[in-house]
Amino acid sequence: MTPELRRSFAGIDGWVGAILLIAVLLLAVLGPQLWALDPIKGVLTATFKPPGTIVSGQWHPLGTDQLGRDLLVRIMAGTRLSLGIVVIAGLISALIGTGLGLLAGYAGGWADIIIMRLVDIQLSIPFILLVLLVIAVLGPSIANVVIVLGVTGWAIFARVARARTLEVRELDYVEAARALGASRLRIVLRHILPNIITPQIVLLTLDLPRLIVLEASIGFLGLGVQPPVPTLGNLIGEGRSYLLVADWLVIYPGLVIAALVIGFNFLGDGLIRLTQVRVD
Amino acid sequence: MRRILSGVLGLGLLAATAASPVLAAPNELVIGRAASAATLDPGFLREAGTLVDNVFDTLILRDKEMKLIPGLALSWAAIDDTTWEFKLRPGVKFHNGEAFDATAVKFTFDRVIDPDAKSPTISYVRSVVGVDVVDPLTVRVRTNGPDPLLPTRMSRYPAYIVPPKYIAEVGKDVFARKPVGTGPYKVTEFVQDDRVVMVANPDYWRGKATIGRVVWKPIPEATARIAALVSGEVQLIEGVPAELVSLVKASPELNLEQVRNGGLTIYLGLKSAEKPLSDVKVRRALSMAIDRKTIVAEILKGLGTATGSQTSPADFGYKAIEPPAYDPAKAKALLAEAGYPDGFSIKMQVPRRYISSAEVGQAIAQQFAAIGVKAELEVPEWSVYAQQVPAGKQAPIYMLAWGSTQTLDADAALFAILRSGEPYSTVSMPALDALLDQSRKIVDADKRKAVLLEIQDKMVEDVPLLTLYQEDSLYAARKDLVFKGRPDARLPLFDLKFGP
Repeated sequence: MTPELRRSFAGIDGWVGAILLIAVLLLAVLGPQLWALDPIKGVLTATFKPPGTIVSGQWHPLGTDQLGRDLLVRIMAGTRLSLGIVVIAGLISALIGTGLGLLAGYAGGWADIIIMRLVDIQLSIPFILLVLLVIAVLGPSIANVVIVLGVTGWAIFARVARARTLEVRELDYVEAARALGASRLRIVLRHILPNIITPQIVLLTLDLPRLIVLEASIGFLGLGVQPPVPTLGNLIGEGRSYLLVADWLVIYPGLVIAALVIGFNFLGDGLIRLTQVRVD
Repeated sequence: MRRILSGVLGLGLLAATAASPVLAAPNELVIGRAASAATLDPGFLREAGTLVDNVFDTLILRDKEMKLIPGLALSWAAIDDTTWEFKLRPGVKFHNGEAFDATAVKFTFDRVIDPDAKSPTISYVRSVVGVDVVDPLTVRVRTNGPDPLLPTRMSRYPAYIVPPKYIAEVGKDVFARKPVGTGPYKVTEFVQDDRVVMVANPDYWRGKATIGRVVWKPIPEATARIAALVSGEVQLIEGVPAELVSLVKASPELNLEQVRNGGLTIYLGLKSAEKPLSDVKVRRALSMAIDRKTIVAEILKGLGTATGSQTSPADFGYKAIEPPAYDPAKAKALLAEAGYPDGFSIKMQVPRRYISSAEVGQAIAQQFAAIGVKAELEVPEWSVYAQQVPAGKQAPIYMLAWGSTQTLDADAALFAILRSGEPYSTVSMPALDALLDQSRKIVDADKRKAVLLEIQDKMVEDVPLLTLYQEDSLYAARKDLVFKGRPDARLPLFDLKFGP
């Protein structure tokens, strides 16, 4: 195998990941436009119809659930909501983490010590316990799920950002900027941030599948978005009670989660190779 | 895809059957329940007394025909309007050897009726003011007025007789985990959320129970509960979910035991002191917006009865009330009359606890939406919810089930959830309070019945809560277990045995 061939072959998982993600994204974004049923409203006389059933003229390609709602449209709406929650939460973590990491790395001293100890503390708290606590205090809602996921995921971003900042700030061009009298803020934002952003983006793609699974777990436990609003997690959480009579209620949302997680992981791997950065 | 997976699942179940060598010995019974017991102290229960029923005795018992028969008391009689005398059974001992006598009876009631103790079930014995010891085998129970129901109040929790010396010695908290009673079974092990183990009490005063050892296992997941029964890991389960009933019926190894209206009336509680639920038109509109018959037929698969009666047919003082008519158009008009032409938003809590209850909650939210009322549904964790409700911290609309199995009298079905100030009541209607208080002071059965019926008429008029339906209790057992469901929802191990 020539190096070129190996290189392009090695990138195939990134492509697979991208295709999976685009498929799920189309399902979430365009789906509800094309398949215009109400994900909340059901027909009580048409419960547990298996995939492919036609009920009074309405075709249900993935069947209906325990309240006679179309599963396909619920998956579409659920995927859209879950993805929305996860992406916003991921961006919040990345923002907080990168900011604090930059501060710790560039300022050093006490700021560094305090921020890095906060990272240790954050990483030592069991996530589910924290969720239970926050939801018990704030009550379950979409906004609270976003907050919990967003605020608790910053630590890993801070670590990576700090490490890169330590490296970059010693480089000659940063030294040059400093000699030219650039302010600290300008140095950090114009000269350091652009040079540490790539690993942060890669990290974000690798963090999203973790968030997808976490959001699903919260939904599964019934602590997240409340029914009848569907998310991938509470679709499975509700469907599991009917596993013996209507396995499709769990299988299809499960497949979507699997596609998302595999997709993001493959894409992340592909990006790592493409940018040749190391992420710990 | 579906068929293949069902096949795989079926194989899995078969394999589980074949591969479980530890089938219980005939002298051991394992019971799968939906919920774990939080406490075994019969005076301070926050749940049905299914487990403690087998560890403790009451002064009066109920036989299979639901008639009152002597228990720890040999006889009882009212000696005047407010005093009942009980002659106690001699020679009965608690599991630890402590003797049962009049002091134990006095101690039992003193600790429950003490308002500082905050017993969740105090409503049931609210009429008791005190117990006097006449001699070691005679007690007199004083009531705050004539209380014709006193004997039935003595037949279930919180009237289980507890050992005074043992509790004084180990304290209330240890007692709740290592209870000692006079009943047919002793608790030998209590691991919360995992198991409660009981063994037959050889010195029981009615004779030793047939089944030697009983293990109660909480299996919250209904599907897992059924799978455990099919595999033989448990021999009896409570709470068969509606959609799995056909599966149990089809199995040659299992029996389905269905008790029609077996205990619980499901209702939506309303915080009727707060706007907008303080307006009777709004409450009536909400009631009309619910299609009870379709909910029972389609979500409960017929395993219940849509009703307007909060009392159950087995109760003294039962009034048959038709389920309120489903009429969304009229409901909308009523809302407009009440000043809410565009409806309103309100929080609603529905726990995943009764038959398909979370699904029922979603269906009701949808039916409310049809008249413009936006119900923000929350499906709370039962352990949290069970504490929120008696503390008054629940949502303005909340689902609860209440039963009269404690006394099989309309009083038990109504008083605790309607009288203002009771822990489980969010109703505050002076006219209703007056009737409820009156009902507890009449000794004459016919007159009392008239008041109980009047209370229920008043409920139809004022809609203090939204009665939905009465659910059946569903048990499933292995064919070799002789088991009969009871209308009072007890599971008396003493009467169980393995058949041929």
